[in-house]
Amino acid sequence: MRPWLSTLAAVALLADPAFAAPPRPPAEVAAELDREIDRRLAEAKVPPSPPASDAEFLRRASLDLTGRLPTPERAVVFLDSSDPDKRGKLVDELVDSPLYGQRFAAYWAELFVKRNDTAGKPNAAPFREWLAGEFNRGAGWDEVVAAMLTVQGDAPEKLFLLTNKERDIAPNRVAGTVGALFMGVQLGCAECHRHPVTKAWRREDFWGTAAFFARTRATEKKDAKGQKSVVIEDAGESPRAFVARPDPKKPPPAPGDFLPPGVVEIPDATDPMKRVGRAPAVYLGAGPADLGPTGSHRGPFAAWLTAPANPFFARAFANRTWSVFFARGLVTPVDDMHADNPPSHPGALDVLARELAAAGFDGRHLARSVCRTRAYGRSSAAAPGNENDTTLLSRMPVKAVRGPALLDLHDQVLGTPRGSIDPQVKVAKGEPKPTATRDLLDTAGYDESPDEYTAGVPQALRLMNTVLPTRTAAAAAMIARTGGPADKAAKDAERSVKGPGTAVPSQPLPRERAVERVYLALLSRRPTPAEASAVAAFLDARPGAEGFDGLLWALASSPEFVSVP
Amino acid sequence: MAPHLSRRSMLAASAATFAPWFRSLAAAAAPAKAKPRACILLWMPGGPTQHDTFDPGPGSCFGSIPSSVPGLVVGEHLPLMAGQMHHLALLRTMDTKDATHDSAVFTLSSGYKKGAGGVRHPHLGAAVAFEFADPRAELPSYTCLSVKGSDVCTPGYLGAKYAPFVTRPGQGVPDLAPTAGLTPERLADQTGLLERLSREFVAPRMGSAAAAQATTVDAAKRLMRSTKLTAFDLSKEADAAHELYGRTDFGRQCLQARRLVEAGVPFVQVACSPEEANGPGRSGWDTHTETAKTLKDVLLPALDRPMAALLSDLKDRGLLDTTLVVWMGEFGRGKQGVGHNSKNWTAALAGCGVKGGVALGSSAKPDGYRPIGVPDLFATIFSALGVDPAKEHMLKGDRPMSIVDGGRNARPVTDALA
Repeated sequence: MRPWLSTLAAVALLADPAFAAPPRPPAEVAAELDREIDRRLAEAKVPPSPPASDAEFLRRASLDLTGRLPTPERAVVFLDSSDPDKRGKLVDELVDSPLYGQRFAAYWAELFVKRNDTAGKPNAAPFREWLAGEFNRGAGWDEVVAAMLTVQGDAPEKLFLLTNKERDIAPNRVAGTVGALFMGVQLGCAECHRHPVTKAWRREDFWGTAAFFARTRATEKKDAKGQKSVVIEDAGESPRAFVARPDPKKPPPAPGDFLPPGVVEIPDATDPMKRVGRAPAVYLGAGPADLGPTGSHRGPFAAWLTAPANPFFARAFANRTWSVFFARGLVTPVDDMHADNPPSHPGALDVLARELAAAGFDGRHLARSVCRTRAYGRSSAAAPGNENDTTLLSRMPVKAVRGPALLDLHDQVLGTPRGSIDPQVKVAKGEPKPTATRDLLDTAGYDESPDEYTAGVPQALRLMNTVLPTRTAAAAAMIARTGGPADKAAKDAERSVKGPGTAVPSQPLPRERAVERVYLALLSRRPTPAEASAVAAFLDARPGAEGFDGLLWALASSPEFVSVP
Repeated sequence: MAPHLSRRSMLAASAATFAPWFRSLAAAAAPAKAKPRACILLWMPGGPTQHDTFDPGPGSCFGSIPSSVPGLVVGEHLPLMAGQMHHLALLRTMDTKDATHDSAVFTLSSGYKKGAGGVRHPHLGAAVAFEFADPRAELPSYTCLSVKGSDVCTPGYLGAKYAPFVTRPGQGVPDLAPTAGLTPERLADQTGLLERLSREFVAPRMGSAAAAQATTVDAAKRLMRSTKLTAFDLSKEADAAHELYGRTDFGRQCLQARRLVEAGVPFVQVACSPEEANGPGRSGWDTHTETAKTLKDVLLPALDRPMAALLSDLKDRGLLDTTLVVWMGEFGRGKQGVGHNSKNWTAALAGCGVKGGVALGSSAKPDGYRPIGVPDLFATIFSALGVDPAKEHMLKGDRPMSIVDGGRNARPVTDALA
């Protein structure tokens, strides 16, 4: 089969008049998604799990959309509200929060940095800040991606290209990353050989994509004050030997070493110093690109990639967005979308891609729609008969809060300052310092499914024996004193009320209320009666701060706390 | 000359050093082969010279001495190792095409170029732990006893279950004891509460990330209670053992490695990187100035006693038949130990599955044996461990990934295998 037949359907879809239409209300989109999901469940006779409890939904939506837990106060308001549309309104509130942009900026930054971890660890903070701002102002994914691909100079969006740097920007790395993350295809396989399953992409396709980036350079420059920074620019020509040279002592390329504009050489797969052919720039599946001798070649590529009619772009983003919420894409793996790997729910993917284009590629429209589906609102607890379902969306997969994000949640609920995890230890000369906690806990690789628990025993020991004991004590002391919430905002408020040297008598909450607040702060719910009595028995035997210390430790160590339920 | 030895330890040392000639005869007569179950990687960061270790010749700074294998000579500053050469198979035509530290360290640790095919490849230690780890084991299946080289000790696609414990000899498992005023009694008490409060959430979510977290916490608690933790306690070793291995950093690492393997740990990595060799910040064997002096005064003595002691001690305890010992760095060196050299350098194997007393090729006469690439070396290591080098893991998206780069195309060095 010719590789491009499969994309014709998608192109036809894009010609659909609905594409010109404005986006539909999220509730309407959600209903259409649910119709296909429910039909598939009925056909397969797999019973869906019941709807999630309010608490489960609150915790899930808060972590998925903002990466943060609701405050105890917010949790109480939500749990006690009788508004029939309170879940939809919660989703809107979370999507409109500035934390939404930060959460998805962190998601993409991590993907970029971890996909190419050979590039070292470039400082991603300015990039995250830029991207969060873009998402929060409603910038389209097309606009954002084009900015990352065509960046010039020292702008924060340069991080994307810098994560694809070896000795210089490596066009082959850029091609692999663009394929996987923006087009949803494992184009990278074709770097060395045809894609083994689809046969769709040949080496010429991979290197033809790389060719657009062959003259992109990352150069260290000094400004007038001597401040160093790395700037992105386009060189005039494509030197023949663009691949990182194993031997840095070799002479720089001579004038005769330059290739025609928009052409790269294809290296031998087993010996990077040998060349086996040339590849002119091609738009994947859409033929050769006509590139001039001067100017950036990245602009034409970005324009082609992010056009509404591009067969890859919208579907890849829709599929990936879905995977953030449901822990797997409609097509899985998320970067392997091709004709022989069909979506689990083809209609849903079409709907999402169409809505995305209609909404000017604003991911917030997808988030609002997806989070309003009944499928998203189901419990993660199995129901009899759906225990083994992994594809039909009969229940919500439990996602893991991964190490560094977990530390942020500790900071939020225990009121500990950020970056206070590692005690300053003195070690003898030649002896190692213990691995920094953030590094030790950062066990997730590139693009693991969110429902994979990636930590092991070293991480468990660090958390239970070293991290938590140092972090629960202060919060426990405050709860014992005031019954107050284990919440940073409240702690700050208390501090400001107290002022230096003044002792403000605070009326301690009754113990049951204090326990309830601890549960609300850590687990976004009230304890069940059975839990409340188990906790009461525990606290009876350990009066004062010690008992609350133990309770905080146990809840922060619990499987529920480290889960997006 | 060997450092000063007390009379008692000299006896212990010499018994261990010379007796194996007799014992190897007995071993040859033994019928059934024992099942491999462990691997110790003696990592030589910076790239050790082959010329003054196991491949003396025109490139040597020093002379050579005869060894326990007739006709096989070793560098003159390895007098104790000379007595152990009947255990070693020397691969002297290593050809690894990369003489840059960072990238070569990863390649020689995992058998793949870093990130090849967009995949996070596991370190040899994680791969061996995957093959040999007992799911009920209490001790960590993959332990790294030196920080040097530990940054590449990644479990890669095998996942955090096979991540290394990085510690130092005698220091035990990191984070094993509760801190900040949390006593073991209170911890036990709190874990009781934790278990009670976890049940309702986990029960209807079996097989989920939440259940995996609960299982991991249980494994951590099992490790904390394990009686096998004494394997980390070097004070349990007699003085004679400390003398045999030498009271040096690398000596303690090797002694610790033996204790761990004895207790059932499948993979231990140790590194010989005496700081006085090149000062802080530089890897031990990366000698670029005063090479001969550093080799003679620091590096070769640092290597000789611990490595010889480890081999003889493993042999004496009957562990060498089930334990593979691998000696290597990221590459070798040029003549007189100067400069990086990724061609015709030496890696050495000993123990299970290995034919001892074998030297294949030499840097002086490289045509004497075929070039041994990284995949060939890893195919040899896995073969010695009884693991099919063509074995594949199935990654996400049904993508098969062979444990050795190239799978069946890699050629194990059968001449080094028993």
